[in-house]
Amino acid sequence: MESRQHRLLYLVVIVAGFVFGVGLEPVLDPLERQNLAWIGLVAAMLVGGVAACYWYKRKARSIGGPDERLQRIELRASRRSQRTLVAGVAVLALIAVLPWAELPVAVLLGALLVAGIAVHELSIEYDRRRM
Amino acid sequence: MDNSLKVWRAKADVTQAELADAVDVSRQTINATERGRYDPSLELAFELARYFECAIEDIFEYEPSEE
Repeated sequence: MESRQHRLLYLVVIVAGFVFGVGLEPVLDPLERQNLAWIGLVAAMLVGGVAACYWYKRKARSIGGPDERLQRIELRASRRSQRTLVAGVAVLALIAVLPWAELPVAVLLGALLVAGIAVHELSIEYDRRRM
Repeated sequence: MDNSLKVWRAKADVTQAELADAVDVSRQTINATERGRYDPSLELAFELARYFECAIEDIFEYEPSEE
């Protein structure tokens, strides 16, 4: 149960970060990016995010983490999603260097991110049923 | 790796949940181990042996796969 909450939190943080990043991009022009207020805001969000993660980790530890079988399942899932992401980024980079290829890199990176999460979740479900 | 965990548990007359609590893992882990779907860590194997007051080899049997 705790493991499921962990994964949900990670998913929410990743999606929120992605949406925030994509949403912020058209709003800011290059001059505004140099604005100290924006830098302060981003720094505050970074510190807030780290503090929230630290607090959540401490809380999860006090409740009791997943046992060794779940840890092994999650390790396998992490390896599979990592391989997927590395392979995807490698293929994307290979295609991107071709002079005639014009790719929507941001969209493809987003899709890769979602694919990585999907592989992770499916892998956990597969191993949980099999093991 | 074969094991006779289910037999030992039946002898001791404890449920999967009680055994899981005693060795600090989930009931699903005990169930998966009994069914041979999960090979426990050395630490868990020692914990189980200590719980049943026997040697690890009494519960677990290692059979190298033939290639």
